[in-house]
Amino acid sequence: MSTIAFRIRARRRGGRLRPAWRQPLALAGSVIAVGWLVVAIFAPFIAPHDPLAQTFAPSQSPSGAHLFGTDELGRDVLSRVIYGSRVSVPVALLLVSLAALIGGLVGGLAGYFRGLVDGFSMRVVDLVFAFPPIILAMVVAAVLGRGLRNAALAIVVVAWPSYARVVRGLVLSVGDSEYVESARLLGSSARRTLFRDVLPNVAGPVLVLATLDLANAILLLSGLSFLGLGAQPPQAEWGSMVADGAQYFQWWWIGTFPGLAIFTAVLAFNFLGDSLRDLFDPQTSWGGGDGE
Amino acid sequence: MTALLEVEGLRVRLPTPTGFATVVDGVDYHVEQAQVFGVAGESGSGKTMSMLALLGLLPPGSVVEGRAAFGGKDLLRLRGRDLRAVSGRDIGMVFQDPMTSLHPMLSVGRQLTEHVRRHLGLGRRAAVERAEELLVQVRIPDPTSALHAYPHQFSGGMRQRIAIAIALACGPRLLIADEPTTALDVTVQAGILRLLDGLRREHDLSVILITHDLAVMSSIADRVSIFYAGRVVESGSRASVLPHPRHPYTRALLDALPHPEAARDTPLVAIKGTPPSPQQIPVGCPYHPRCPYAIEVCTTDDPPLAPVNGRRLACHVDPFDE
Amino acid sequence: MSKPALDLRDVEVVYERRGRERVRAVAGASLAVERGQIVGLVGESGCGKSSLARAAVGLVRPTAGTVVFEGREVTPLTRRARARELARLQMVFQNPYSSLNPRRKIGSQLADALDALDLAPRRGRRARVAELLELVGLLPSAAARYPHQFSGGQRQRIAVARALAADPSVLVLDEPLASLDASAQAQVANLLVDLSRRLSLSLLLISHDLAIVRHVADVVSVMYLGVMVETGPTQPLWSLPLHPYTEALIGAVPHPDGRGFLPEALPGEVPDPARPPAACRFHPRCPYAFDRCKQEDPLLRRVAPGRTAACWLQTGSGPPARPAEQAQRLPLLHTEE
Repeated sequence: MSTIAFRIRARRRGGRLRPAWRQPLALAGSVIAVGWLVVAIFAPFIAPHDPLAQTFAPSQSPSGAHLFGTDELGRDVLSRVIYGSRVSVPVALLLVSLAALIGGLVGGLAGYFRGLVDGFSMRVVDLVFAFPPIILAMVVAAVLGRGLRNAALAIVVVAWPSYARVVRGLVLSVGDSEYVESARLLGSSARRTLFRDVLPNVAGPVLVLATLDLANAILLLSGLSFLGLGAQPPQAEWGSMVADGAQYFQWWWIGTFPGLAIFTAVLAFNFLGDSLRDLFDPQTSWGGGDGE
Repeated sequence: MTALLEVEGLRVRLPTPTGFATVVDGVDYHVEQAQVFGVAGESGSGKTMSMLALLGLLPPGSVVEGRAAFGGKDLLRLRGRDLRAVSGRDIGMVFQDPMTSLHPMLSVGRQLTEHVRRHLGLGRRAAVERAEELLVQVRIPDPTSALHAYPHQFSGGMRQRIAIAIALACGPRLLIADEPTTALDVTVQAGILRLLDGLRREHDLSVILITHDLAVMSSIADRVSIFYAGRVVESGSRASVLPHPRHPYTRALLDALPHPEAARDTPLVAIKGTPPSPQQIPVGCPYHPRCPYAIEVCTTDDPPLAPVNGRRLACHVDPFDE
Repeated sequence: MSKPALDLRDVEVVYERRGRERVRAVAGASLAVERGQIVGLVGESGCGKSSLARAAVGLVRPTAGTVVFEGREVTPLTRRARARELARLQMVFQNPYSSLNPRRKIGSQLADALDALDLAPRRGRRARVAELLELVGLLPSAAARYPHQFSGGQRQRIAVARALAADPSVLVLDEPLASLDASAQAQVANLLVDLSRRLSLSLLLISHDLAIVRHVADVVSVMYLGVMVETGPTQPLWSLPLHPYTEALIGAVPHPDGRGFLPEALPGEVPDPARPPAACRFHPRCPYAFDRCKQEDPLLRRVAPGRTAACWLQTGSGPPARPAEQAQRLPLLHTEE
């Protein structure tokens, strides 16, 4: 019967990645995110002026010469927004990686060893979760002292527990899964299955969480700077620029443009995180059967 | 007697990343009053999708064609509130996993009374009485205390009975049961089948029983349709189709089943290969790549479902003609 | 007779969780799997058959009793790698959707066992993986694909192939057919029989479906609420069940003959294993129960050649007979309620 050729009527299912135009949010997210990265890297070449130079007439409204206008000290707002990306984006990346690393390690150990290790580390996590993040970050930043570095550390302190909890939960559930049990019966040690079967299944969700968290980190960092606990003047930082602008309401451009920068960056990482979640979830790849 | 539900030319296309997939391809059937209509086929044969289409429960973006006459209305033309008014009251649905239709956080009583109060406009006391009556109807022991219990406190079989009670709450004329016994033990399955049979006999309920297990269908169905790759390949009365299957696929499904009265060492005969996915339905008869009786014409022409001796059959070869 | 390949003696599995009742899932059950034999273990869900299976391979620690595999005690898993000698005792799980790692290619999952046990030289692994896939009726090209690209039946065959990678002598299969369509069920059932005969592999096949087990197993053990109630060679047990529970299981099987036979439902439910009925555990659901059943627990004993049953109706004197006939023969003991 194998000689009977049969043609395929419909097209084969494509690879796992859907074309970008079917995911407009993912596309928008990655374009904006990459855009901000490029701006951050090439800021000195893109920015028309020195962000710190108080060389222009103060408080000019947006015009051809100053697209975003100038601030109350006569600095070019566009250049400051561009240089501001050099603070927010890389610092957010760095502190989220650090938080993911610390949280992942704690959660991984808790899930792997269980028992006392688990109990202790999860109580610490609960403790951190008991405070609203911005309040805790403020307290930590205030204790460590003003400044960008301390603000970033404060955010790491607030951010790591969510990774610990996610990683612990995944390590526990994947560790109890039948495929890990099978691998154990086939002679793999617990440590071996941890690296072969468990951690690869943890990586996806952690990456998703981290991407979504980038948005949070940018927001928190700006928030702390807004409150005067983060970047110190005259450094160009979006949050402190918004704080500046808030004092001069009649000159709306001073606060609005950095605000928009925060908004677009946060939105971009949120979009990106959401679409990554879809990508990593095997359930969303289209099945086509029924009754299963 | 006119049929309770009459479906004609039902075609369902689902959106996929690579365009539409036709999961139900021109299906006709009718369900008579107080009869059990059995729909059988492997997973992916479109049997569930053809039922979800009637209730407007398909994923968004799906395209449905055809006609489904039910109580003087075409279910496929109804939208939103109008459809819910019909499907919520006159059609009940039971799924394989009873937990999909039971809310885990609400007591059984609350779920039953809310349903009857919303659709039938009963008062609180009347609703509680009706709920108890329903639990008696599905033979839940101690219905009064069952009203105060939560779904997780029941076994799988009891949960399925409760799901049936909820489906029956508004006195539907049609019950669609999608693999209602697949997740259950045989002993419990027997109880559910007896319950469905009793409901049909005592309450004139019509039932569409969707299953992959022809033995289950053989127990209570009056008429059967065998689905393959989104179409019907054979249909007719249970008593004619199951003892003497004419379509090679029906035959193969039966040969794959353990038969309690079979001789000692009758081997189970597996169908080779797997059912095609909706995106790659073979040209010609969709079953031909797996069919041991296929001839040249099967590879080119899709056989129509044509009447033969009191049943309908879609096969060019008809190898089991008597 | 030589020693059985897998021998479970008076195994007891108790689950204790804080704030909850102690659940005795397996309440002293014995079972032996001879070399090359297919043993069916049948019972309703909640009867403890899965717990017994997990105890048999060392996934749970029995609270009492012993599990001996090829003369060596099966010890529960620790974080360390399992003893090499025990690798020849393997398990296949019910759900082929959760028993394969969704993110790893089939080939890599099959090679894992070869790697962990050092069963094939690094160079020969690819060939061995292809061989294993062919053994279960799949193309070698399956190695380069992911689990989600296969149907349920194919995945279950992949799971079997992975277990075969360890070159096992005993395979414990926990409901391997339950989640499959009828046709896939037949495919996997036939494959198991074929593998057992070809590789002289012993199988412990756990299922709730006596009808399918009948086509596969050489001998059957019927389990109810943590204890064995009947054992015997498959065909005699099927045609002449001696325990009322076995009879009920057979009566509940639907017939696909189109005659509209309504299977018999067993009244009631499997009781909560945390609070089993006193004396004979089956008596509240048994149509033939009499006084003695509520007072004394019947032990599993030999009632006919090769047959054991735990039922007061089966006295062992005279030829074996169905529970209904036995109940009539004991009119003095049988009291109406």
